Amino acid sequence: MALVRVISSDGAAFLVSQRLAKRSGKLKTEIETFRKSSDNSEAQPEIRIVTIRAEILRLVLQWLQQHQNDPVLPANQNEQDGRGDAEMGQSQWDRDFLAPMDLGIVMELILAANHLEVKGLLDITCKLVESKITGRTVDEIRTAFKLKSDFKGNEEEQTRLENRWCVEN
Amino acid sequence: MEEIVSNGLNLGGFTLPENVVELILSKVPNEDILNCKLVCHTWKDIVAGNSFFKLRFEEKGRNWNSIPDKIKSDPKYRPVLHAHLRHGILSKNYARNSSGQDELRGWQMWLGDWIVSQEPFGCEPLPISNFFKREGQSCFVLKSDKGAKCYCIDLREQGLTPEIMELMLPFQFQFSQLYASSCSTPTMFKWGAGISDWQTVFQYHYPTPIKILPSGKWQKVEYSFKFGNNARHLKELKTLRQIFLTHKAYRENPSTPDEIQRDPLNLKFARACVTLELLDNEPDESSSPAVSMEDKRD
Repeated sequence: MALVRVISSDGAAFLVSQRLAKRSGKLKTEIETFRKSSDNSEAQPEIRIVTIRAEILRLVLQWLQQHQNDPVLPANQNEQDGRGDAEMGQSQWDRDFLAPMDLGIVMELILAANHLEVKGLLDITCKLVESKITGRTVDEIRTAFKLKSDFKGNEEEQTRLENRWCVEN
Repeated sequence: MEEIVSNGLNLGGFTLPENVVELILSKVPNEDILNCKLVCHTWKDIVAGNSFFKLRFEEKGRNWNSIPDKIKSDPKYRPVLHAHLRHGILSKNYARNSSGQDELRGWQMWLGDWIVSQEPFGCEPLPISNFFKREGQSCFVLKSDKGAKCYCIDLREQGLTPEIMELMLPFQFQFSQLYASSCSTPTMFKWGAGISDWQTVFQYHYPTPIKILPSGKWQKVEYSFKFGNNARHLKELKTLRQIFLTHKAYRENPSTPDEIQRDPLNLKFARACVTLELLDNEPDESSSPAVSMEDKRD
């Protein structure tokens, strides 16, 4: 089995199968680039991810391992009523996987999934953040994410009036 | 203490790329989108963007490519995209129980003895259609010698407010209906379609009866009500509330009870369809004449 060494920003090395690693768009590209530039086709690629620390990289690889047999990027059904695939995709395993994480870890995982191009993981982590927005008031949302309003004067009221159609229809 | 500078991309101390914040916000249900716009300028701008709607369409399993470019690119049409996400206004069949897949629900059976059949016995199979792929082979069957049924669509309930309809001008409501007969004597079919504000009928199409010969073949009637940017239509749209379809059928010549027993009418109706279609050009105002008293006779 062909392997690849993936090294985190803090120097931890993870030895994983290339088949698994290629489920990340970014690692797939890196492995292919290494192949082209290497004379020895047997050489083991080594990829340094300078933006992701070991704890987070381990989580990404763990998620990839669990989902290694999922179809790659399930295509959206054409025009169907109801929910898209992203909604359906979350398994009990995913929920248990995400449950113990605080918002900081989730944010790091989102950045990692985005950087490594792992769409499924990006979807479920973004979905988790979305659940902290849905059903909250504007002030609660700002508090949850430590965001400050930058609306001046009556801009906020103006926006509310201009966008009544969002809630009325 | 250091003050946190909010730029809308820094969530809980982590700065995310804009495409990721957009992805997160695209997953928020329609009901909560307004709140997102009110958080800060960055979120407001993301939610107003074209690519945000594209993501939401993917998220909700709706087909972005089927939406005309005009609607996608001009921000003034955002309420239309929003209503489509929520209610599917540009792609659905407003006649929900089109072929009896939901028994007789939604239809008012005024007259006669109606049933639902799971297959069109005595007639050809229903044609294959992308639009109706999930609706199978069921159809309504008129068992008695005459009958009438009606279906009413509450436009407000279906996501069509006066404001949304005005934005979509010019557009049309397109009607179609399949019918077939396996009876060996000729049958008459009168169909109608109308739009009203509940009390006043604005437009009514009630053509002369169609004579159905016993071929067992499915045939189709079609009609459209067009709306353009003219004074009369703008006025009608302000209070337009309902679309209704009527079907009446009877044997051409009166029959004896014996004949009825031997050769029942068994007239079949399937795939009642009402869709909203955007038009490229303003319709000719005279093409959809206002209702005259004569039309209301029946």
